[in-house]
Amino acid sequence: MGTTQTAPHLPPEILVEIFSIIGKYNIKSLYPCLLVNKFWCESAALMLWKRPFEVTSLIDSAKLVSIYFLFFSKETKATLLNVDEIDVSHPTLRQPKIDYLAYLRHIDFNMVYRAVRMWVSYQSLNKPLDLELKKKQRKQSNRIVEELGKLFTNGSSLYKLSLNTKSFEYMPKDEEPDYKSWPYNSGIRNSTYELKEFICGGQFAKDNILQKLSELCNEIEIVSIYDSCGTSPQTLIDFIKSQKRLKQIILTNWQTDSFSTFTSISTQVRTFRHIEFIRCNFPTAENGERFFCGLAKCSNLQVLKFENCNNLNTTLMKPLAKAEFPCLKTLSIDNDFTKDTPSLELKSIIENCKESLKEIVLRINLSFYADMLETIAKFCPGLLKLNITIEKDSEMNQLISLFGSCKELIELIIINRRNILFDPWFFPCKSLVKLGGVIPSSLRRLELIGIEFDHQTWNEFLNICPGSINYFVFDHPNTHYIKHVENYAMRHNKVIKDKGILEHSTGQMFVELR
Amino acid sequence: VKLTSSEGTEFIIDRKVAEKSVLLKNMLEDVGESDMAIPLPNVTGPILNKVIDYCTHHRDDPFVSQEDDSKKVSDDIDDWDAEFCKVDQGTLFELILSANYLDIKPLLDLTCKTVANMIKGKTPDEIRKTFNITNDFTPEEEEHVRKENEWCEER
Repeated sequence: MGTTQTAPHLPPEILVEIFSIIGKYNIKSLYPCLLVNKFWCESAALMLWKRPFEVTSLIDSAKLVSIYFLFFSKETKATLLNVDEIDVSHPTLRQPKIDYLAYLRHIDFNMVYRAVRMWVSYQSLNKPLDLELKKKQRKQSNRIVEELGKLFTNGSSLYKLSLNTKSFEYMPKDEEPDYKSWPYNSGIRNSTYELKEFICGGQFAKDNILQKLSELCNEIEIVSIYDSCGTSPQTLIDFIKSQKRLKQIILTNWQTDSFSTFTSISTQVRTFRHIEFIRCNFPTAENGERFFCGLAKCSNLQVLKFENCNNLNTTLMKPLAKAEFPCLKTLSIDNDFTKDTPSLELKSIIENCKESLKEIVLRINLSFYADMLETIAKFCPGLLKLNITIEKDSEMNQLISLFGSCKELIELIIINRRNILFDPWFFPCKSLVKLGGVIPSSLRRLELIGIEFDHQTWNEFLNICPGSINYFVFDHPNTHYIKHVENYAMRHNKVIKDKGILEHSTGQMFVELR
Repeated sequence: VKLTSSEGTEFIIDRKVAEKSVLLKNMLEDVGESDMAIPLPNVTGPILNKVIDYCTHHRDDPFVSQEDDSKKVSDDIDDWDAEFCKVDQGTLFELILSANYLDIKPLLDLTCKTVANMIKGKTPDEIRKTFNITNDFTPEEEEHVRKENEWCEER
């Protein structure tokens, strides 16, 4: 190796490593690398064509799908032309130079659909866009997505697959093949062999897809099922049980009643790290206390979230109160409980984590949870992030006491939902200033959402709180408030970043310092 | 710990410094205490000297796990490391290859980041000039690749 050694002599794995660093900064900045020479082209293409739909802009995505059309067989092109009146031939290119299809690892059918839809629209720019044309375009888009689906199952080896259909405009009739039959394409076994992440969403029953995937792959690590209400709970459970390495599951709109219950996940007790339920309806039956028995055994769990779920009551939460989650880092409860509030159960979960919790989100009405903040103060001294609803001065005072023991916090988000039932006159001027005096000097980000205070209070608060905060969010789009942040920054040898002030349409101000 | 470079030059270093290299760490664990020099036929003396400088300076750094790795970006190089990488291109590439061979992840990251920074923001022609690379595409092939990849061109 002499001093004339040049980059092309670096082995491909090193070039890929270098390109992955460039790609992290901005994946599109790899484009010039494609054109350097053939060796660089191969390595850059490997990165760019791994998840191209996530890289390209919506406008350019039409160009992207037109390159995939080069991979269609003569027969497919002929059928699309003669039967569906779609001419997918490229104006100048005939054959792809590189087997880009083999590099594809992530597919999101939602993005594929949007790209195809864009391409289809470009094909008829000169025609008047009437209802008839729109209908035809939607049908053509579905046909192309169907063919692309077959293509992707025959040449790629996927890590991540998203069958989310929220952008789809045309709902095929039952007898028509479509994206829902995707797992039944030939070649599917090879393309899903290495599947690690699966996302499925859209208003349709997912039973067929889940049943087929249960047969095809059992190494999936991350699963998100959105809009699962039309899907049989048992199918979902069978799918979960079929996986050997499931680490993360997010379920939304899952409805279940007195069926075989979530105890079934006990097959994954060691692998589960992250479990999230959003807008789920849990069973109300008397045997509800068995429902989370499986979940309670997931002793390696790191993240547990509940958001707007129904029937999350004391009976249901009982097994979790007895559970030990020594690795739990994030606990998030965003739920309005009206009766049978699982206050003791929630406190037991926090207590049993044995100081492992680093992030707590409690969007709950604290008045139903006596001593909740004391429990956090006692059992979570190493807490880094706290996101909490505060609706009364007494709750604000409890929060102030919390900082007697939680001295490592880096992010604090306080939300007032302006709940008229509780304290419509909540105006925490005095307690806010007190809070400023106890905030630890580790804090980097502070958000005060929905909290009313005057600008003198804001000034007093900023005068007393530590100089470590670099990010403020508050509800007062007013120059006085900004001026006080500017002064705060100056006192601590900081400035507001260029373009560091953003006003959200809801009236929230985001101010970033450096 | 004794090491010999490709020309046979002997280097004596602390075990802690040697253990920054996963290759050497594993070797030492397998072999145990020994006076025998470990031959490194893929690394020249001057490069080994640089590698030892790096490992000595970073001897007390914590081990970087794969998870942290996902956060790495190319503009977080500290002053000492930036100065360390101010070498001619040949040396830089030899450092990369040695870091790869000796399995010293932080040095590999640092040198790859340095090369990444040399590439960022340049046109294909400027990249070729920087690294003395010959363009082996015919004009037609280059045009073909350009068209196939128009979708990711920055505008």
